[in-house]
Amino acid sequence: MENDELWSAVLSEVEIQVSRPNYLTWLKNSRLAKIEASGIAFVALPNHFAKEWVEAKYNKMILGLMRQHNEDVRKIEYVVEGTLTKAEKTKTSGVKAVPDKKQQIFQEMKVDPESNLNPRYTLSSYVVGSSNELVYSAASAVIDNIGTKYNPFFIYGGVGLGKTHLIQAIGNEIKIRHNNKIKVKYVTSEKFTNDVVWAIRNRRMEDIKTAYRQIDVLIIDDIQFIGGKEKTEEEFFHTFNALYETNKQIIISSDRSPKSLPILEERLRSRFEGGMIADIGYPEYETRVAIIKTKLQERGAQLPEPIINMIAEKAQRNIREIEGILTKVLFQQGSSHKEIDLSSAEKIVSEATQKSTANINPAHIINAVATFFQMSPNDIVGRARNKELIEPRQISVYLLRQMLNMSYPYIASKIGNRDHTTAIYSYKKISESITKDQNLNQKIASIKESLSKLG
Amino acid sequence: MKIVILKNNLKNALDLVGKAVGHNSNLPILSNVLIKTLENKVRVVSTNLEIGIASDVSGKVVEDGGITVPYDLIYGIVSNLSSERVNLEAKNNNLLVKTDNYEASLQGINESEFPIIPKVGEKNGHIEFDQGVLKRALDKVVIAAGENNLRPEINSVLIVVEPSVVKFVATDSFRLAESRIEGPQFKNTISEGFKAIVPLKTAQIISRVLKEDGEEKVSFYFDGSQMLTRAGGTEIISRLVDGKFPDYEAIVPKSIEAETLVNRAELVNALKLANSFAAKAKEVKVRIKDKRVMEIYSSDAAIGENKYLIPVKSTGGDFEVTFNLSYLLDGVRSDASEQVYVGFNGDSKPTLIKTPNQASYFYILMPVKA
Repeated sequence: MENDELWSAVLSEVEIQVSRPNYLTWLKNSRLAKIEASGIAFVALPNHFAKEWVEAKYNKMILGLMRQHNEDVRKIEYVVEGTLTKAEKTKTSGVKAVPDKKQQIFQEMKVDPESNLNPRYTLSSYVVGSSNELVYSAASAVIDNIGTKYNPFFIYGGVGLGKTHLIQAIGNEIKIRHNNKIKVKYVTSEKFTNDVVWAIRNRRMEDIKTAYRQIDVLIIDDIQFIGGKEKTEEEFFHTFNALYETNKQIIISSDRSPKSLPILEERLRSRFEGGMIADIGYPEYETRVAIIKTKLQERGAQLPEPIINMIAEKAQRNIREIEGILTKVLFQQGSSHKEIDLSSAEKIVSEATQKSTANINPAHIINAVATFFQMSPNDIVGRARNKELIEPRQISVYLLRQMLNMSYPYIASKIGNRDHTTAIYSYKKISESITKDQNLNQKIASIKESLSKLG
Repeated sequence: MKIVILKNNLKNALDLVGKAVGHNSNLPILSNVLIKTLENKVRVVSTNLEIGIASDVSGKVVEDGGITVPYDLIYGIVSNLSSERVNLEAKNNNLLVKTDNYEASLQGINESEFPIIPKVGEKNGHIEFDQGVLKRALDKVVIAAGENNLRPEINSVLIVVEPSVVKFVATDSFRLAESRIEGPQFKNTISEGFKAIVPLKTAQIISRVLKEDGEEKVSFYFDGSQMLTRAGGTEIISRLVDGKFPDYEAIVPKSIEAETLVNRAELVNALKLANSFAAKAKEVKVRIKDKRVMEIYSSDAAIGENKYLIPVKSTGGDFEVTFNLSYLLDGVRSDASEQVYVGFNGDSKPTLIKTPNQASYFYILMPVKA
């Protein structure tokens, strides 16, 4: 006899023997969880009060009835299962008047606390173009073959190109397709680090181990921030191995390829390189137009075609910038109650693309470049002629000129006291390459992003 | 059962347990209160099957035993008695209440029908606070808790226990409050750090039981999915919420655009005045001008408009942010220092309110869309 059948047979007899109120209060939301081979039956009850009551008052009767159906049962253990009451929680009494819709809520509260995924990121709102075709099809393959086809799945690309959108969308899609039966967890490497630090401080390392190792699909965002944090890296390595060995899917994002993650331990890097590595490039014009249209649709807003095209043409850095421009343009349109014209939209775009550089000084730029390339600022301003210093120096010159509009002789004196023609050459070299070399463009974009946090 | 008890003692005990008296049509006995003897004391117990409260008071026990009677009835009688001493006697499921000049017989229900209050294990250790310290910490966060029964994980107060600090956090997704009790102010015999989600109702009951001042202590015990609070002769047993509290640390702003210092009493006053002109929308606009003036403005098409100017010290440029008035007032009113720190972050990111130079409390609030 099945557990459910057995239990309902027992209950139908209990119902006759105890009073109706008692039956409804204590036994209505109960179930027979399992019967162990040793003869112990586990009965789940909705709360501790029910447990105390049933144990004290009905245990003998229930055991007797149970044994009529299954002679192997020798003993009953009662357990509390909080989930049993949840189905009944539909009462809405006591709800405070909900403030009107204009009251904004914390962005983070929209996140599903179990998986940490934001439902806003879906695959259908992810715009695919030639710059991200490969990564998109790899993502689809991962969704179809969780843990088996591309594991780990490593996505890298510059700031604001949609890495987070894509990896969260993969998680959301998996959850939907499998009806929440697959345990997906999204964490930023910052959150992972915090968890590890909390656990170390509070002697709860075991909790972390068990929590992270029960996951079926682990998604880690911005893995580059884990580098250099020894204990976190080690814990991540063990988690990675435990999941990998049991064929659980691991999805990782980073702002650069595993090869250029210098401070990451070698054993981790080789693990990453064992799976699928795909990069997201900067979307070309047509994709940018499609992205703007999707964003407008999400907001339920409209803009005339020429303005969309103008934004797509001029906003060349990243998608986050496009988003910022749209917010401003739509705000202006909303507050003036009429359609915005091209020239005022152009003004907004040019303001947004020329970020304020008021608070940035040359030392900031040199530091940011040095941090990005994981070297000391002294290497950049020094006179050593090592090959690996060439690119960081050229980028520094480029940024000093482009962002601060400094004179070439001054730049040359800052960067290793060189001749000003070297500075001119460096600036030209980078300005030319940046349009062709996607990799370089991304490096510069991330350095600028780190600078904009200062500004 | 036969006891003699001071009227005030009995009334205090009934007051304390009143909050957990149930109203369950399936089980009418839940609207009763259990009065019984326990080792020469009198114990008064109530429960709604989520929370159980037991309060022990002194009394002269003549004969052991117990009985349950309707709470509202016995509470009404005891409140209105004029004599100091009350005789209680249980006879055949009736409770006889006798004083020098009063006599009543209440129909009760046998003690054996009353739910058994679950035991909470005490072997894991406990945390002990001064009652007043805990009460202040709790009261400052429950104002921000969500009263939405559909999301039990935020209809709650999160307790984070770490070796050197205990944090209390509550949020209704529009605002969030955290208060901390630091190392020397509590004793902790639990060896590991942990997090527990306490139902809002339990937190409110605990706060009500606690005394504002005095030396008395209160202790928390945690055991699986239950917690026990012991304060003086009162014990509160509650389930814990089974769920995950939002990752609240991610909500705390990492940077502030305009740090502003303002006199707390004046700001409270300004907001109270603004309230008269915010009858419908319940919205107030806060403007900062020239880094030194804060303007509190509210208006209503049918009533008119008003503004109140307060001198402040602020960083950042001129700006305007709109808030739900009572949410803002909750945050400004929750502490007592002379100055209050308000950290603005524009009209779409949370604003941080705290006491300057203090880490023991903060309140975060999302603005209203302009």
